Amino acid sequence: MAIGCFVGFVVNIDKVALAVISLSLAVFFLLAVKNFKLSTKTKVGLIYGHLILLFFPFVLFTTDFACGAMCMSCQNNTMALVSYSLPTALVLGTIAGFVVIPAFYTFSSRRHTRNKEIMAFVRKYSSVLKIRMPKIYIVDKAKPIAFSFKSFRSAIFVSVGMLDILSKKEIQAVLLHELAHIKQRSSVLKFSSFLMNVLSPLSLLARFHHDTSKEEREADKFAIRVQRTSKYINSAKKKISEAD
Amino acid sequence: MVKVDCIRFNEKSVAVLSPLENDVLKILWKKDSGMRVRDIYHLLKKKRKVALTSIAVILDRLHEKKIVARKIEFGLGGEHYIYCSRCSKSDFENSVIEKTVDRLIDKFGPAAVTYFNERFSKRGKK
Repeated sequence: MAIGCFVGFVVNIDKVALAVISLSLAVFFLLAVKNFKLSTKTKVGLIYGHLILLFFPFVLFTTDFACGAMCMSCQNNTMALVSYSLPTALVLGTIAGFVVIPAFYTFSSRRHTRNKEIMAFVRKYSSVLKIRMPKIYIVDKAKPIAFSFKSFRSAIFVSVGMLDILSKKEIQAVLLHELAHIKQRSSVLKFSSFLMNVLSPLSLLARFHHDTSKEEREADKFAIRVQRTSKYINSAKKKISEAD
Repeated sequence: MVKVDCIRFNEKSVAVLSPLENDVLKILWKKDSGMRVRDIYHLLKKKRKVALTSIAVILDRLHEKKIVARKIEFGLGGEHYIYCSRCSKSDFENSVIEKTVDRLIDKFGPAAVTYFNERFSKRGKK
């Protein structure tokens, strides 16, 4: 039955042309993300564009009316499973990455910092960077960790272990580093790239790999620019690696 | 109950803790109310060359072994851990002896019990 559907699809020139254009654009978007220097917003848009255009022919195939009935109703083979699962995985992955995981961290941490000095510092530099002030959460862990993400509301997570071993200036350097990540939307780009690596076989063929070192360097540069020295960010990094 | 999994028998002594773990614990046994990582570091660095990060790692390891307890407190400089020992020095030593004897009996059975009987009776006569 699936063969019948497939034949019906191939003889329909309009749909074949649509599928070819869609796949070509998907390849172009992938190469653009890989090779051009673009803003984070554009990169994320291209990644999602690539995935949607890559899955579009499958959707077109399953919603084809070859023999008068929708192909989707006849299909019970691997092809049909792939056709359904790819767009579903994209939607579920997006919800998980941008809603469920941030919500999990937010609710599992729960503890906001009560340190007014830290809050005032973050407020000041949020306005410098022209971003909404992120919430600052304290993670009950002795391992020195700090991370941030941008979802509906951006947030910075700092472990108690980090506050224990870093000096005031070093903590400020780490906070500046995380604020720069929020400004760059690093977490959004990181997760989108992860989705593309998982869901798109073309990204594997093109050897697409999201290099975070550039974003890390940019975040460090911001901390150094504000503090006018690399001393604190470097000593903070040294202490974190020592305690690892 | 204190978790003592790693007892090393050397030629001269029985080591349950690493030298740094031992030094940290000695400081904590002296102060019941608990101490910050930095406070322990300041006391210890007078005696030996040690890094603040090493103290933090050691305290986390002792917490994992359930030898020390910790809680988050808010104070000068923001949130920090307060560490305190879960038991006194004598309770800790008793626990180590108990575990060691239990393991020897588990391993060697009646031979270990007979040996201990002979040993204690000899000591009693002395």
